[in-house]
Amino acid sequence: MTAALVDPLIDPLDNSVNERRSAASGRGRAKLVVGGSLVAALVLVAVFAGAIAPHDPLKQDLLHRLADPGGAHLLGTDALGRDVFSRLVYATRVDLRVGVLCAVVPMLVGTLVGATAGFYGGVADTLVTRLIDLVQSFPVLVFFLALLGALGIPQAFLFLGPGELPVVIVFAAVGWIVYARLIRGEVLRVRELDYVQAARAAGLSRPRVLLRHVLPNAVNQTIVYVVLDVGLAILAMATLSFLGLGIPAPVPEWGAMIAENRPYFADQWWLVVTPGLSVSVLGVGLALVGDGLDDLLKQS
Amino acid sequence: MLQTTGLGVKGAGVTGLEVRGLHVRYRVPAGLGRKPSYVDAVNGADLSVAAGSSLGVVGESGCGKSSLARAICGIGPITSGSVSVGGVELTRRRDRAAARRVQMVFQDPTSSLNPRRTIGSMLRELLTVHGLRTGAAVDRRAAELLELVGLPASALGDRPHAFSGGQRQRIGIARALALEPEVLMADEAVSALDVSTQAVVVDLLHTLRAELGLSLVFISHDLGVVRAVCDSVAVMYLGTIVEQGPTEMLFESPRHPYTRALLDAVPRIDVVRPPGSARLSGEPPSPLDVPTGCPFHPRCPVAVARCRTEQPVPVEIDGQTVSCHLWPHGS
Amino acid sequence: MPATGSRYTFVWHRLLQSVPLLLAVTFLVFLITKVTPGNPARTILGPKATSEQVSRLSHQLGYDRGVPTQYWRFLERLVHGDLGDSARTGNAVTSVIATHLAPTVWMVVASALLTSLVAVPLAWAAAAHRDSWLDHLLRTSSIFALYLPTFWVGLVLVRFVALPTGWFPVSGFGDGVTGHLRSVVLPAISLSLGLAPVVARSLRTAMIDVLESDYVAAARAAGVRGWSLFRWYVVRNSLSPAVSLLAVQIGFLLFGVVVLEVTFDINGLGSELVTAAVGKDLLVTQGITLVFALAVVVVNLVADLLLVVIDPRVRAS
Repeated sequence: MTAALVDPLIDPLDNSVNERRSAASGRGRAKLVVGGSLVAALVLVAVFAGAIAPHDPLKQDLLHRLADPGGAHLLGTDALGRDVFSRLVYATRVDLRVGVLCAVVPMLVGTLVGATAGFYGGVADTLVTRLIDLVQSFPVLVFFLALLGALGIPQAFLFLGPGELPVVIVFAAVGWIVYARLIRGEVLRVRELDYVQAARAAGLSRPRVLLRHVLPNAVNQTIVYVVLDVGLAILAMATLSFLGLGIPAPVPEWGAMIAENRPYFADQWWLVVTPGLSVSVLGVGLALVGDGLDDLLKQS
Repeated sequence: MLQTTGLGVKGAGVTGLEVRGLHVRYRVPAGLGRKPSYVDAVNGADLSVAAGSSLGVVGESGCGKSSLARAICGIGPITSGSVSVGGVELTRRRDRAAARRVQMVFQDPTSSLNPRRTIGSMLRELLTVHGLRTGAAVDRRAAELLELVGLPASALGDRPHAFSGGQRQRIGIARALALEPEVLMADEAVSALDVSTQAVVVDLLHTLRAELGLSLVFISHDLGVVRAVCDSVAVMYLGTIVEQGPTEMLFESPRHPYTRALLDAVPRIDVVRPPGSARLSGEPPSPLDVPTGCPFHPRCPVAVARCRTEQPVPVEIDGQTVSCHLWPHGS
Repeated sequence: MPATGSRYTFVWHRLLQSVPLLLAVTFLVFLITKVTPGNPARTILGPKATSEQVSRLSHQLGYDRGVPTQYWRFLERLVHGDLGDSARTGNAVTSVIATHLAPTVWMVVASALLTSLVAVPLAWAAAAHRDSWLDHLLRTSSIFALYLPTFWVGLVLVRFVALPTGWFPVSGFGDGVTGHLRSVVLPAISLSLGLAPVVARSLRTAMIDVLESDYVAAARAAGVRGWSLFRWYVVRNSLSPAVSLLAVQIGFLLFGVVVLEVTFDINGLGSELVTAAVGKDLLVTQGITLVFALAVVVVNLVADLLLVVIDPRVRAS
């Protein structure tokens, strides 16, 4: 570094900054590896659920109700004699799919709105700012609960299972606002940077400047946020399903499994503990990935 | 009007950049119920730079230099007046062909390059969008541009963070040159660099201007650099160009009290400052509240009553243009 | 500038700001009856109602008019304290709210208190000893805590604490003040286990800003050290971020209370809301959601007004 050559006093300070940076990037990488393997493992489980699960998750066997773990049933059976391990495996698929949609759909909408609002300004910009104020003083999750009750639980829709569509709609209807604010703020910052001005001075079209020069430099925080958001969406969905308002029986879903196994919790504690752990493990995996990405993006 | 003799090899004497009566006015939003106020960042600027020659614009920070630069480059507002290149007027909203005629080199070498794009992809985008090259010629031209600014073609695959400040500034110059502009605007293009790198980049701009027959507008607060590079100089104060003329004449015989004060403020080894010579006192007034009459009068050592009420008009004296009541008749 | 005058102006402005917010919040709550597929009057009255009854209610609620009229009617009835009747029981929604309010208030207060009692000292300790094991533990646990399902934590506490020890009731709200108190301990622990680390972590950042500020450096240079530095400079100046942070989390906290009321079979507004939502009892759902929404608005308002008292800078800005 040239500054270090000029002033020997800067040198030690500079080094410590570099050391701290590389330590942060080392920690970031470690988090990515641990979190990434957790998430990757669960994604594989979701994709290959059919091959991994030894039983049909919906198949009832009333002669073997509440069987203890071991033998043909790794985690035993529930009150209807369904294989708990297979239900957990298939639930991974449901929870991941809905969780990803509940984060990605609002992200796409929010990015579109936020980028337009930030780059072009005007009415859209004012509206986004006002909506943010509203969301911040509103019990969003309680509202979700009420909305899901009013919407009712419809049947499967396209590739979505029963009850999944309303959950995605409700999350997207509010979630986009958060993303719009995030992107808007970043676009406002990046828009004024010299390289964007240079691209404009070069006569590049406005959409091109927005898409190729502004947005790629404005999405860092959003990427971190969406990773964390998938976990939070899964948590919220599991909670709503536990209350009976998300994914309906008999679909295997972690929150719903806790609700249906709750009466037998005193004796068969694993029926309740394992689905809850699954939510936490996936959540923590995603949190580590998000946090690690954040560390890496910050130091680059 | 000002005529400069071009030193350029190509196109000397041909009209390059012409700026006539350029005004830039910003609206300053006020609180609820209060009237918005306005800032006249550039107040009727007239400039002309022949092809192949260079003009320096000097002044303190906040005097409107950057607003002038941005207006000329089409990335800042133009309230009234005109900017034309090669005799053709360029408006604020420019199509691709018009935009390409004026290009800019920015002050900050870190923020002026997109950190996510390689140098090659950045140059290729410009060349193809403007249809300047096609096919394999695009890559050849990109390498050629880097060579022009003294960087190896291998740099095409790297992202900006791989380069030093001076190298980034060369890349910034290559980007501007990619569009084969007629006017190159350098807004404090070397002030963020250390002194030895400054000299190299200044040299490069100087050579390229001559070789390519560019009109170079060199905006700086560093009088020494301006003197070394520019054929003519314009001095700005609070949005107004108070004096302009050929570099040597202006440096040797400054006519406007502000120019004189600026030159006196430069530390020099060869001159012993006479005691009591004019020194600039105080800060420049806020651009939000420009004084009436001559904008310089509150700080002017020789101001008279007239300066407070009447704005002086530019007059020409021996090829120098000056706006000051001390020079009421011109030559 | 006269301090009392500007304080008065601030309060007045803040109250004025709440008006459009209240309109927006009530509109969102009003929407709950609009998203139901089919005729909401039919849903409200249930399947046994005659079509005559349905059309009468439709007219009464303004469902045969445009949306703005309906919203206006909703506001009018709201001002008169009329939230309609429960489709399930026929009771007035306002009386449903009144009878179930107390347990929820207990839950909210207990959880908020416990969260603050854990989060504030934790944040102070972590900020005072940066990069210590405690600091790292806080950072890590805030990540894990965020992803703990509160209802699941509640069930685990019941199974592995309440059942074996008998210290706490497994479900219900108990009798008398001691009974209530014992019933809300486990729910409050479940909730603050998730919330406290998150609050503490943001609070820690706010406190570090204070610790690194020029006025703390000046106080240090002037020889103010240890506890008195902490007490008079750091604590005082980090009170306002603490209040704001807790206020921001109120929406999350209320949802946690709803979920935990169901988990612990506490018959408050939360479990009533869930029963109503699952049973499509639209007007009860709407009424209780409104209570929660208004609670958030009021808490944010009170927090802002509290800041005026704590922090003189708020008045100036």
